[in-house]
Amino acid sequence: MVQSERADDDLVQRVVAGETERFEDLMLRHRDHVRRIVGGHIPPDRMAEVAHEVFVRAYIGLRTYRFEEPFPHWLATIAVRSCYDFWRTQQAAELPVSTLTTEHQRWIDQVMAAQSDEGFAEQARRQEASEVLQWALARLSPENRLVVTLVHLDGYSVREAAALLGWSVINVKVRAHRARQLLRTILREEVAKQ
Amino acid sequence: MSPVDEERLQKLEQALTEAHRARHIPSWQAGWVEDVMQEVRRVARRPPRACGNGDVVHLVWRAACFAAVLSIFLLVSFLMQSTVNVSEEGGLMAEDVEVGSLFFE
Repeated sequence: MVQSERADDDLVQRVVAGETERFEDLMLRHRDHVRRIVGGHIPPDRMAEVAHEVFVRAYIGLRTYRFEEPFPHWLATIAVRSCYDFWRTQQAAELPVSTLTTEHQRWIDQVMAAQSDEGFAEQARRQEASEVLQWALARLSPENRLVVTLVHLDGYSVREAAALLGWSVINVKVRAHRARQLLRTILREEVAKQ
Repeated sequence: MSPVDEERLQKLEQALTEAHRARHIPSWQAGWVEDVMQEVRRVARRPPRACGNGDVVHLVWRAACFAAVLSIFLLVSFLMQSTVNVSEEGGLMAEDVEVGSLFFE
């Protein structure tokens, strides 16, 4: 781990000193780390575009990297903030799932009626599950969406999420709670319609 | 909502959480790294002034902070000065009244 950090720091120093091509080595070392973060927040068809933006921003900001935290942590903050910027610029019409179809509603019925663990797990793996989640998340503000994804879906602690977002711990704590309540209200209203 | 419905809602939430964790993340397309590197090279060729944009922003923030502190200082000084003037005027008037009362005597 320490060796890996040293290798990162060495590469960063070389890039900052003018060896631009060494940035490719940094990218190859950390692209899967960025893929996992961006893939958790951005629709699959837009992931490459946002990850591209993350690395360009990282290159531009490389001179501000102070070697006080591991390079992957620093890169993760850029990735999360790029995802936030992506959702801030999205229009409602461009959302991947803007309305729920009868198939989605049928899936909701089936998952809530599932009696066995196997039946439940099978429902969670279906395409409709992911689409209902995207539909519900799309009804949240970019801030709430990001916080609920980091804290409740990805399982980051409030402190970790605060560090990634550059927000205060208390702000993330309050927002995570409110965002989850909002998400539950959205789901509850949809269930009540049926 | 009844406790039974609440339980069903929790099931739905749990299924959505599992769907998120089991999501398929696409792998990189061929040429993606090269595309990023092309843009990185383009950025690297830009004059250094464009890259130092962060420094300018930092400087602007520092100047704004300095201006804000100076304004607060001036405002507080002005308020303190005006309070002193009011109390001094009050004191002078009080002296006038006392002098007046002496004349009456």
